[in-house]
Amino acid sequence: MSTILLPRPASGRTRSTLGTLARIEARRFARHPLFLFGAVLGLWAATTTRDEVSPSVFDYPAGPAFFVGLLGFVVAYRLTTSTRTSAEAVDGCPVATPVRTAALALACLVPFAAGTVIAALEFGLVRSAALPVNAWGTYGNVDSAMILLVGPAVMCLGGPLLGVAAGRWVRFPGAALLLAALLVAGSMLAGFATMETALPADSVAMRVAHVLTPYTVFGSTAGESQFAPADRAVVSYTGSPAWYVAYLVCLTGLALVAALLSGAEGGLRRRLHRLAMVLTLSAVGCLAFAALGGNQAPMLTQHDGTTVVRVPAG
Amino acid sequence: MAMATVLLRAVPWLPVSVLAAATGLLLGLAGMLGESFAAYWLVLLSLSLASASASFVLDEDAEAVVDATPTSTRRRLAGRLVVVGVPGLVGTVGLLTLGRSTDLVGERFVLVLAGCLFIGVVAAAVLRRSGRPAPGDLAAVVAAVATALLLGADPLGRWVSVLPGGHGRDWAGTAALWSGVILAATLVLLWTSRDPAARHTWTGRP
Amino acid sequence: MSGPTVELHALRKSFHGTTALRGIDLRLRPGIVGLLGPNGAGKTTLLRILATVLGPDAGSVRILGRDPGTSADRTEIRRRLGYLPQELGYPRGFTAYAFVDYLAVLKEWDDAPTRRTEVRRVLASVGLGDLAGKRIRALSGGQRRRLALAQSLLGPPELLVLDEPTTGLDPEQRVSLREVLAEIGRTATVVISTHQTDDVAALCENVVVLDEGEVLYDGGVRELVASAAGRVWLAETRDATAAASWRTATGRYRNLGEAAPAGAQLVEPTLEDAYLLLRGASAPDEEAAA
Repeated sequence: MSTILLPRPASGRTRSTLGTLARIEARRFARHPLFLFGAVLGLWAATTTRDEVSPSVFDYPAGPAFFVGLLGFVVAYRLTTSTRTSAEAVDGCPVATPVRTAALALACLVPFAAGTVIAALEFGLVRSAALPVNAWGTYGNVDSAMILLVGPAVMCLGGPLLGVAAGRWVRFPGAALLLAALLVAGSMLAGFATMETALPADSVAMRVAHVLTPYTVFGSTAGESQFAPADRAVVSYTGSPAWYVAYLVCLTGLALVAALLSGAEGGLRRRLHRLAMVLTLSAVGCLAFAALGGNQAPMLTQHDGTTVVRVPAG
Repeated sequence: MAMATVLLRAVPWLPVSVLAAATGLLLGLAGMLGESFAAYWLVLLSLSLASASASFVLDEDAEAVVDATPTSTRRRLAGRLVVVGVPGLVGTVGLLTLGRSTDLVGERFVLVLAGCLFIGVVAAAVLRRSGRPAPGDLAAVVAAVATALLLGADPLGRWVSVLPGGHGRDWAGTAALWSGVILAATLVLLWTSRDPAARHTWTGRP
Repeated sequence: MSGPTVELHALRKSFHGTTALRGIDLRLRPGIVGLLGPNGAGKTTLLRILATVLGPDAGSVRILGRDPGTSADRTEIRRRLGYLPQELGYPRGFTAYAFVDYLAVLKEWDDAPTRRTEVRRVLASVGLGDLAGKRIRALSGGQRRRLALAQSLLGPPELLVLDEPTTGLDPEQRVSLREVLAEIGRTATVVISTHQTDDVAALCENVVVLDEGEVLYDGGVRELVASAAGRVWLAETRDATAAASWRTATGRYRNLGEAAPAGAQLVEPTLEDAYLLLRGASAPDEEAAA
């Protein structure tokens, strides 16, 4: 009987290891039933006929954000924590935790790609539809693209990356759901509540609150808001969509850094801390521009296209 | 008494209580927002969380030996279902309180809550029957997503609304729908709680 | 001699098209019986049927004189049964005592003082008396295995079904376990599935060898060992015709086969030799292992 000697793996192969791991994780992500379910529902929501009575296009980003971004958060959390039962064997491997985290982060490009395709499809369908003249509220082409295309795509990356970070740092049964629910509830409170409460929507505090969370609403139709009592009118809320997307990019970067910090040591840890500082400052800056730029107060666009500024009494 | 105590002791209380508390928190926030669109969605989200909370009550890590004890599966199930009362109680109090300050009819929503709790338990029961001793973590996701979509999308809206309307509006169809869900869930629970050995053919009768 | 505690006739069981048991016939009496066989031979499936957590597809089963096909009989069997599965999860946050107490309650030990005494007894019998208040997650792998074993000893049972009971135990613990099982085996039927032939040799009067879902051997341990007499040789070289051959610590080769290699010395067979000869399997090869 002969002896087969296999060569030892060469050291310093982190990049190729990362690539291999990322491909494995990406396959797991792409085959996860919850991701597939969300992607199919997102696609279905993007392509089915809309209520033609409603002129608003601002509900559309919710599809990819919820079906791919939020469910992607849960999927990423579950994939990250799936090796917990074999933690001792995994931790004993020469590949460091940040490399494994980076592989999971790269796998988040799968929901990002899916979300981008769905958002692009939806955006294309909406742009080609014959909509009422006030459908886009006060927003121009760039802002519309930010709200309906770029923003949802970033959410589909940020959500899963946040799931990876949560999986690395928060570990108890039900944590993924709890965090997802808090994320949704926070977005509802900060985003929706600002357009419904009696507080002055043009105050700085309310404008900041409106763009603080990872999902917000930039417009709505009649009946959904106290600002749009007139049927078939559209309200455009405060804030700059472009800066809001920049703020989301910073939050996405922070989620990635938070994930990579788990198990990071020495120089890498110091670099990640510095990067977190830069991203935090950038996020604060973008938030300020997002809150103070764009519409200074909720704007009502009537059915005939005339825009009226509405500042409610505080 | 000892049986009830140990069955309750074996339940994973952390996720059950945390998710039940989150249910209460969201209902409280909905109450603060009053008659608003956001409050409506917070109520739906809280019902999903209650459903997720109920999904953990069947977790039994030691299933491999517990199944070989003389205490029947249904008796253990009955003992554990008491725990569903935690999210049930929190949700009921929250909904009834909400009903006093808004036009939401709390009593009607309690039936919806019961249906959501049953969906959570059934998701766990089916997954456990398929060989997962502690299905809670996965069942919670399944139940929460299912209830969120059911309540949010109202897929049967053309025939009957999933959510009950306000005072003075007919809700017989909705009540029938949720009663049907509870009945179907009960049947599924009875099916999944059969003795694991009873589903096979034992032909050893003398 | 008392009647059989387990009677299996033409027992068959399949999982998704894979046949695990192909017509098993067995009669087990009080005493300790070992269950040997390679991975996938059907040992765990057979034990799960004996533990009443799994039913067969065909064939007849009687356990402790009762028919597990009826609910009442199955419950009665479970009252008198101890079962240690191959893998066992533990509820979060439980102490060793709380875990065994939990199982004791489910085994209908309703009287609290009696139950406490019994739980302490079984914990002490596996050497965990001092660790009763310790959280399970703080126990070592071997201690967890002993804890799993402790719950199976509640009763004490009339039929004790153990799947790989000595996995993870150190030599002292294994010897200690043998003492416990030998005591139980005086009156009860103990079925031990294991890959440790020395445990079977030390404990069991009878052994059942399963292979591909069929009984390859059912009889006394001594008879099985005796069947290998005259077929085990120590030699300076490997015998290419041997059923199994491996290099021992002394540098000589242990050859299992009919023909004696040149200059070979005939030695007393062990149960492991007999088992390997029965299966006609290859023993681990030191070159492959390298």
